[in-house]
Amino acid sequence: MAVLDELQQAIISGNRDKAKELTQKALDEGVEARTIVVEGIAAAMEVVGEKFRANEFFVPELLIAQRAMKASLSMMSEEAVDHIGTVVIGTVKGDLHDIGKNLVAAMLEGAGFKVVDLKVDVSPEQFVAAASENSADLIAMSALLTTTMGSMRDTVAALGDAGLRDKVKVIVGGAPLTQSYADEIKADGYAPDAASAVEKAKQLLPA
Amino acid sequence: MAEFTVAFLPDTGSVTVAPGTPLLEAAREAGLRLQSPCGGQGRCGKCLVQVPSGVDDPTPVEMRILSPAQLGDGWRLACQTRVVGDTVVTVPESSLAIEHRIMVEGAEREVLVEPNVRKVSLRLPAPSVEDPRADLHRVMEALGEGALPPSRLEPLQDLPGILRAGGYQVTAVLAGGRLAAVEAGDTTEETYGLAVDVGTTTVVAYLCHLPTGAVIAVASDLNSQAQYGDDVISRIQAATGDPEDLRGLNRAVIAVINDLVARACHEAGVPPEAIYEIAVVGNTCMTHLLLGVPPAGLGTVPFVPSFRSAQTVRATDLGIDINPHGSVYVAPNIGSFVGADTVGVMLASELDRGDGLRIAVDIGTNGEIVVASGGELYACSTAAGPAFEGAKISCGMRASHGAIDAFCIDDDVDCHVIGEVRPRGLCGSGLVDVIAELVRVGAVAETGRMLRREEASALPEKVRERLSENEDGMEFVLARADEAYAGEPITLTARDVRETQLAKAAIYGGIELMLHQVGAEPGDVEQLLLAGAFGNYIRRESALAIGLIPSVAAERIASIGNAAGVGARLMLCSLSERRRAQEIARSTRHVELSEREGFYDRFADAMMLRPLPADR
Repeated sequence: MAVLDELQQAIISGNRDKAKELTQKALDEGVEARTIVVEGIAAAMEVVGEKFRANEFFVPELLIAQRAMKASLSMMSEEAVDHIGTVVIGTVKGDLHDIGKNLVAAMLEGAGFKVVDLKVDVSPEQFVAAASENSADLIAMSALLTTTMGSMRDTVAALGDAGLRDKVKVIVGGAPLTQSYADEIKADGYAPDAASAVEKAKQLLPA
Repeated sequence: MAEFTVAFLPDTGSVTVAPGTPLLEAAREAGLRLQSPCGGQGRCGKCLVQVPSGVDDPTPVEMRILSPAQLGDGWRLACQTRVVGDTVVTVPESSLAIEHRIMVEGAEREVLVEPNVRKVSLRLPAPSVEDPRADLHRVMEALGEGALPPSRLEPLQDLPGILRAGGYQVTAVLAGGRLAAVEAGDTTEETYGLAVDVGTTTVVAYLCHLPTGAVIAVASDLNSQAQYGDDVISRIQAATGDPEDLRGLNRAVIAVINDLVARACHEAGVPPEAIYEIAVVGNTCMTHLLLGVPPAGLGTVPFVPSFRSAQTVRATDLGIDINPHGSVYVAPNIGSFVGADTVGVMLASELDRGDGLRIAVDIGTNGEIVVASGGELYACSTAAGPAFEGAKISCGMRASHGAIDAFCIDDDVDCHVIGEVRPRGLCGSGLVDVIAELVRVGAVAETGRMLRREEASALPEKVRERLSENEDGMEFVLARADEAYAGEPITLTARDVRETQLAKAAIYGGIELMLHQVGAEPGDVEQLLLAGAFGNYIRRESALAIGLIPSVAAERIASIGNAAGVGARLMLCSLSERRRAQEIARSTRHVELSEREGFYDRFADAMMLRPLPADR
């Protein structure tokens, strides 16, 4: 559909005004919200992710694309959108860094996830409570300081204590994180950047 | 009580004083500062004045210093001579205390040089039956009240030999008013100090002649702590995680300083033992590691330093090779991530004076920003990264010989290289120019994406050819292999543009947030000062063009070079500047940026390579 192709381009090039204009146009033409999300927004964010992996796009392009995406998404009502899953995301206790976490949150949103952002300095108990309240499929944790990474292990344990470990998957990321650390703390997944985080998150969804 | 008039020549007017007032004091009241390094004890002979009458008779102290001929001509020591009637005093130029200028790069600031370390030349009477005073007593009495006896053993152990070998003409070295050492002869001119700026990426040392404050040599080098990580957080984590790493980090910076001492001394032809004091500035983490203090609290919320106030330690305790009795003054910090170096910048630029809105930005690894507004001081750190100091940029280097430091594009590129030699790399100011020009001609998009050659048909042919693709992505060739120093081309890669965007967004975002903090707009800024690592004078037009700084009128922007280093020099050479530094550190409010709402959104906008703020 032409208008959705154009919407994709607008989002990829980070043109917020154009994205809103085209979203309105699509809605006016009677295109269903869920179609706009899947074929316009999510498709655009996939391309953005690919270009990021190819080193063509970087954080600025990701950020402006995300803003255009959010502008478009905000024009559709919550209920009209079919989410592919629910993610609770936050930066762990003792850590205030959020730029990377915000990038991941936006990419997940663009891919069709419902994202519950707990912001920063989030304790294991807060993660578990939010996962329970929102019937989340995934907890995504971010840390920038090696001194705060240990909190991730505690969250995995807390999930177990709450009897939710088999229902909620855990994915981790952040500069000091590695696959081996993720394995050590028995997380279900690790991603080195926002684009691969979306791929991993999708993989971890229940079939 | 009767009062007498004392007139001073040439031309400084007169004062009225009570009988018995020393001429030195009368001069001070008249606004005349006479030299008196011995503190008015009649030992140095520097406060010579000519006064024919109206004063008391010469004292025995004066008669020891002045010859009968001098006394006959009316020459007296102002500190020993008291007023007994109306009098006219002639003060020769040579007796006046000299205000030495310390050149603040870009602006001159007059500072009275009053270092913590001073030397007093003493011509002491030899012991005699009439004067059987002990050696130490003899020296301490000559130094007068206010001078403290040595607190260590070495000066006492050295004293008897030096006195006798030197025929009782010796030089006392006082540090903070305490006798630290005694040297044979008159060594007052051979007093040196070192001002050091310990940056996360670059360390710079200025060797200064202490009686005058003049810089006689400069040496700089990379901070070898980089092996533990480029940034402050990595080093904090290393130091906190393993005591062995804390020792390693400490040894690394001490080694760099000792190396700079050796190089500066070699250049100036001065022995390291003639350096009696080092004044150090650096960010908070750097000051901790220099002193070997674990930065335990700096690694996690709520981020507390282990100490904040100024510290004075013996050079030997740190293993720094200067005079064995030498000391190290480490300037005070402001907060956990805004340190002594920022205090140095504020001191050098006098941000603590006046009410206007003035901003100083340190375009270095930690991107500190200070704002003076309505007499209040605020500071923050933006963790910009070392891109502007040459690190993390593929062909990046410090601003020294061989660095491309300026750049423009016409029908082809034009690189200016420091030293006018073949280029070896790109330094911070060159980096900013290159990116500004590439964006201007359209080779790099405002988002930071470097165009592929096929997309760049609008460019002049010679410029277009410089866009090339390698396995990691795009790059722009600044100097071809045959034009460059080492036979390898000097390029700016697409990745380099991204690194610069991140660094400049941190700085720009920080400035914007600080302006918001004080409720001001870019148009309200009266002065924007750019400070940075040694030799790095970023062109303001390029800085504005890429949105490194907000759109402030060009004439209000000035580059002040290594202001932190200037601050260190000021603190080295002047005790009142040290007191001022302490006050600045105490009163500046540390703003924690990551706690501010909206930093994320501002950071996103701030990455764009265009004049900012953009019209929304």
